[in-house]
This record gives sequence, structure tokens and C-alpha cells, in this order.
Amino acid sequence: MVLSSLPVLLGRFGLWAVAAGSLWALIATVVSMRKGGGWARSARRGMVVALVGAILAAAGLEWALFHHDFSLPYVASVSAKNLPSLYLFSAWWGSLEGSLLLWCLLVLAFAVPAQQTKGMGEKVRRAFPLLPAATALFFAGVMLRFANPLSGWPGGGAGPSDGIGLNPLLQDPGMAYHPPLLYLGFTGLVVPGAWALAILFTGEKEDWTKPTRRWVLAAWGMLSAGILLGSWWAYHELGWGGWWFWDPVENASLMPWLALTAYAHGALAQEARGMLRRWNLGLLLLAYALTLFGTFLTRSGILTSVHAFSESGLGSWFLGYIAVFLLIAFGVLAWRWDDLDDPKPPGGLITKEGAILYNHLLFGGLLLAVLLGTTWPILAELATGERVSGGAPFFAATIPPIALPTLFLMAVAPWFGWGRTGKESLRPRLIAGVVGGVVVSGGLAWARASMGMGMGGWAHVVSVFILGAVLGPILADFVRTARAVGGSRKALIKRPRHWGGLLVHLGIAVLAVGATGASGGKTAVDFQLAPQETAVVVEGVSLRHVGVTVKSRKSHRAWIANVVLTQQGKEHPLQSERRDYGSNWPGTTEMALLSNWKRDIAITLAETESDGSASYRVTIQPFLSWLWVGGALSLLGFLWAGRKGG
Amino acid sequence: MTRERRLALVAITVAAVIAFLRWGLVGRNPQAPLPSALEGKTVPEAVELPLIGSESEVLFPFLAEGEEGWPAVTVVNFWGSWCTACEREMPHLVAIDKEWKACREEGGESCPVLLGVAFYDALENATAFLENHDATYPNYLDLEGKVVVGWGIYGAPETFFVDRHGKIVERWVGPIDVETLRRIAGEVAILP
Repeated sequence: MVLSSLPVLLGRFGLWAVAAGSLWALIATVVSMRKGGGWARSARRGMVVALVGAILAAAGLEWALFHHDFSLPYVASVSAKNLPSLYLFSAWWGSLEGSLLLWCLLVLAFAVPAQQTKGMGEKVRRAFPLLPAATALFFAGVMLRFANPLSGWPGGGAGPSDGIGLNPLLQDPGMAYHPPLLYLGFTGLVVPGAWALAILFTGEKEDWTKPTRRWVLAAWGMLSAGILLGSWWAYHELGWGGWWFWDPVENASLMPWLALTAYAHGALAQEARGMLRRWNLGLLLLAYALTLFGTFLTRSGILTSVHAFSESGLGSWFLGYIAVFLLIAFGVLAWRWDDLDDPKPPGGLITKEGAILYNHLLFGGLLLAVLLGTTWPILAELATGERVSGGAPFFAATIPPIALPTLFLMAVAPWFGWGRTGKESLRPRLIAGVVGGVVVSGGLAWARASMGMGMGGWAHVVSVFILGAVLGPILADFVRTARAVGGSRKALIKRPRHWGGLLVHLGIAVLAVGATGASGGKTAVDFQLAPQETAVVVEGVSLRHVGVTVKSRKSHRAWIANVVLTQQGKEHPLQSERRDYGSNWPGTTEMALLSNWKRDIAITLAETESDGSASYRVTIQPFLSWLWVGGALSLLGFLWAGRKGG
Repeated sequence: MTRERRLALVAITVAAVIAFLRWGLVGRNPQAPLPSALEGKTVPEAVELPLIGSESEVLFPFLAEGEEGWPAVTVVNFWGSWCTACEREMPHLVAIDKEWKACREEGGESCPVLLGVAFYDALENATAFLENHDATYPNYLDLEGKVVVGWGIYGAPETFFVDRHGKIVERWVGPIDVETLRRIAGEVAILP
């Protein structure tokens, strides 16, 4: 029997404090909704106790990781003595148990300050802790029952002398930040979800969209950043040249994003016209449920093939909690349905509110497609008794026909008016859109022709035109506003929300050009080359293999291949790596990348021979870097829209 | 619609969704296949690898995609003696190999062939592992990961099902069992 150190003991105590504090907050909140006053204060204290408990647990876990306390199985399974400090820290969320703790901590850290949001009524504020307290209680329960990151070995052994180490795929700066960023987005959704549930429970006619706007923007932005970073990481680290795999893990983060994006537009209609309250409440609850569903998909062991989790009953707990939430939340929504009716009918198709209704339908369609594609293999098995592999072909067939009309709507709808759209205001915008579309299409056609590429598929052609159609009216509007207020800086500062939203649209349009260009024009070629041998990849691009060196680093051995990539007469010396992390893990690759605005050329080292030769896979994808530029523009847009005065 | 009907609608919908998920996901084989971007890919180029127990290097896999002479089904299992899940899985592979050997000895037409690849592994550890489990089907040693990158291996164990044209039709991530091996190999064998 090994006596655990004080920080670990405090951490274990902290987990119980999370459970006790959140249970108390839940009970006190329910009572306070009838009796008010002291009970509400008590509930708030319960939440604070839970938050402090979660901080203690996290601190205990980090202490154990940095002190190599392998008497904790979790520490032994995700870290090792030779792990650099950054990855010792990020080993916290290296596996299921620690991820649950991070989730729980973030939910509480958001919920405690969010309850003080200005502009919300007292009654609704009292009911606010319902959802965060229930969420924290559930996660604490799951940790204490099935997946405790701080529990010791059965029998209390001292554990191994060294740990297994962190999965090398997670040993990348991108992967150190990616899960917490995604979890920030996921858990941030608990705040709007909590307000939605509180409003439904109290039946108050609360106008929540304005006070909660920045919370929604923050969660939306972080979720977007998490998705983008995940994609960027997959492209740079997995070494297959792909950047989006329609992998269930990716889809799990995309689904709440789609629901939240639909909500963000619905909230505009509610603010301006008092419309769509039911839709908006429903979408917020749905977004919260989808974050749980995503966690269930990716963290219950259903898709990761980790035996223990499904056997332990964790999956059933998750489903049970989701079921209870859906029943209560949508039950109350159904109950209040008639009290929430929309005061003003939409003014017509060519109005902002009409476009937002369409937007809801399209996003509903996208969400349904992703949901079906993710669970399709199961549905098919139900129907036919045979297993099918769903995946990419399904999404390739269903997503573009819904996504392209959505993009089109994105280009025109910002210029519609509320209630009615004046012809005199719409016409110049439409003209600017068509002019922009023609100019951008022409420019990119020239760039393609200069590299001997074809048109790149209809989806790409349409996206390129839409990019111009988005850009044209924005520029026109900006010039007009700048003239009116006297200076472009003044124009930008004056309506942060307007410009922020448009910048997000522009970023999405740029991203769409990158996505359709890269997937429509992808080329992959394999070569085996002797030292100093040169191969022609495509016209104007050749690859020379120089040689391979082997290096031993702290946590791995690296085979580093030196190559010279020649593009249109210009030589670029590059390095492509393969890494071996020892006997516990498969190796990873670090591809060499030559990226410019026209195309990405990626070189993956497949294998090396004792005679000094090496095999490579070279992947060429047109306009791929536009994905990251577009994503960055959108994120800037989120930041801009969140500025004061928005 | 009345309030009661709306509530009933919500209850029924939620119950149906949850029942579907419960049946379809939780109740399933925990080693459900990882939907893969690699399925339908051709077999990567053949590479010479040491054949464990023979002291000679042999081409793996024996043929390239599109070449004549592939068996109806080739099952390729990637493993390592360092992997605990492989320890659990190995008896299933040995059992199915007996079955398929018997099939070939009886002169069956579409009997599957099983191959193993131990990767990032020491020769003596891999050899001892195979001896402990009485595994006698061909096992290659990929000491430096020459082939695992090309096959896109994410971890051990992983099992690939290759059809009679040398095309990968199915990839199974995580330990596999006799029933699954038999079922998927059966499905692949009847492909044209």
C-alpha cells in the first residue's frame, strides 16, 4: 500500500467536492425557484464549491504528472519521464479521464461568472444554475464511478518505474492546444443553453439575445477555432495530405457548430423583429445536446475501439443523461410552445427574416446530413443487416448541394432589409456582387491557366464566383460608409457588429474556395528515388532526393530526408521526417510543405532504404492555403464583432 | 396541436432516438470499425521484409494491386509484441488460421490467406510471442516501420481485408475476433 501524496489526496477530495457542490446547487436552485432569496445565494455558493473542487482536482492531477507519480494509472498511461514539459501539461487531456475533468472544470469556470451577466431578470438568473449544476454533477459522477483520473492502482501498488508516454500523435503543439480549444467551445455552449432552459422553466418573457451575445460569440468563435485547428493539425501531422476526413470525431465538433451558427442568425431576427423565439430556444438546447452527443461519440469508447469504456457502462450513462436532458428540455419547450409564439410574420422571401428562415432550413439540412452520415453505418445495418462503410462518398454527395445555396444566401442576404427590401438599395449591391464575381472568377481562371490547371470542378467554379459576389458589395458598402462618415477608420469602428459579421462571411467564402479547389484538383504521386536522383512530379515541378540522416531526440528517433523541390525553375531545399517513438507507439511523419497562394505541395517520407534511397508521396492541392486564410479571416470577424458597442 | 400531444410527440421522438443509439452504438461490438478514408485504396507497393523464423527476406505483400494470382481474400494483421490488445487477439487469429488452412488442404476455391506484420518490434520478442501462441502463418517483421506508413496504420492491432484484385476493402481497428474474421472474409470472398 502506497500512501498518496497530499496534492493527489486533495485532488480526490476535490472531485467529491464537485459532486457535492453541484448536487447542492441543483437542489437549492429548484427550491429557490419557489422560495427565492437565501436559497439562490446558497445555490451560487454550491457552484463556487464545485468550481474550487474542480480546480483542486486539476491541480492534483498536474502535480502528479509533473512529479511522475506512476502510482496513478492515468499518469502512467499518458506520460513518461522523458516527456517535455509542454506535453506533461497537456497529458492532462491525453485520454478519457483527464478530458472529463477538463470538461467539468470549464463548465464550472464558465457558469460561475456567467450567472452575473448584466441585463438578465432576477427570476431567470435564479434558475440559471440548473443546467451547469446538472452537467457538472453528471461529469463528476462519471469520473467517480468509471473514470477517475486520480484513482490509484487496484490494491494500491506503487506502479511502474516509468510511464507508457503520451501518444506521439498528440505530441505536437497543435494537439496540445486543439482539445482544450474545442472543449472551450463545447463547454461555452452550456451558458446559452442554461439561459434557454432557465427562460423556459420560469416562463419569463426575457429578451436574452442581447445580454448573452458575447457569450454566444465567444463559444462560437472558440468552437470555430477548435475545428480549424483540428483540420490544420490533421493536414500537417497525419501526413496523408488530407485536411478533413468526415471522421466521426470531426463531425462531432461540426454538428454543434452548425446548430449554433443557425442560432446566431436566428438571434438577429429575434432582436430586430421579435421573431423565431421557439426556433432560437430549441437551437440552443439542441446545440448543448449535440456537444454531449459528440462527447459520447468520441469519448465513450464507441468509436475509439477502447474495450474498457463500453464494457464499463459509461456509454449507457451518457445516453441516459442525454435522454433525460432532451426529455426535460424539449418537454418544457413543447409545454410553453403557445406562450412563445412569434409576434410578427416574415415580410416576404426577399427580406432579412425570410432569408434567416431559409438559413435555418439549410443549416437544418446540413446538420441532418452530417448526423445521418455519422450514424449511417448503424442505420444501414438496422435496415439491411449488412455493414456498409459510410464516410466520404455520402458527404461528397449530400453536402455540396446544400452548402452552395447556403453560400449564395450568405452573399445576398446581408443586403436585404427587415420587413421589406428596397429595390433602390438592393440593386447597386447586386450589381457590385455580379461585378465582384466576374472579376474574381477571371483572376483565378488566369492563375489556374498560368499553372496549366483545369477549371477544378463545378463546385469550385461556383465558390469562386460567390467569393467575388460576397466581396464586391462589402467593398462597395465600405467605400460608401467611409465617404459618409469621413474616413475608413471611422467607418470600421462605427459598426463593429456589421463589419465583423461580413468579415466572417468573407472568410467562409475564401475557405469554400480553398476547400473546393483542393478537393477538386488533388493529385498524389509516389516515387522511389536513389540519392541525387530527380523525378518530375507534374509539369514544372520536380523533386530531387539528396539523402537521409538519422537523429536521436529526447522522446524519439527521427529519419530526416533532405530533398530539393523545384517549382517553375526555383529551387526549394526542404526536409521531410519520419519519427519512431519506441516500442509502445506507432511512428509519425512530419511532411515537407511548399505552400503558396496557388497551391500546396506536400512531400511525405514513406520509407528509407539502407542504400540511401527513399520513397515519397507527393500531394499537390490547388488553393489549399485559402482554407487557413479564410478561417483566420472568420476568426478575426468573430473578434471584431465582439468589440464593445457591437 | 394540444399541449399533451406535443409532449407525447417529444417523449416518443426522444425515446426512439435514444433506443436507436442504445441499440446501435452501445449494444454493438465495442470494436466497431473505424470509418476509414483508406478503404478502397489499392495495396501499397510491395516491399521486402524479413519473414520471422526463416532468416530470409520475402516480398510483402506477395503481389501488387492488379496482378494476377491474389487469393480470394488476403487478411493482413498488423501487430506488435508490445501491444497488450494483440495478446488478447492472437488466439483468435491462430484459430481462424487453422480453419482456413483446413479449407485450403481440402482444395477449397476461395479460402482466405492470413498474413501478419509485427512492426516496431524486436525479432526475439516477436518470435517468442508467436511461439507462445503457436502461430504458424507467415509473419513479417517491419522493424523500422517500412510498410506501416504506406498502409496508414494508426495503432496496433489493425486488420486489413484485401480482395482478389489486391484492393483493400475493409479495415478493422482494434482487436478482432474469430466470428468477425469469418464474417468479413466471407463477405469479401464473394466479391467479383
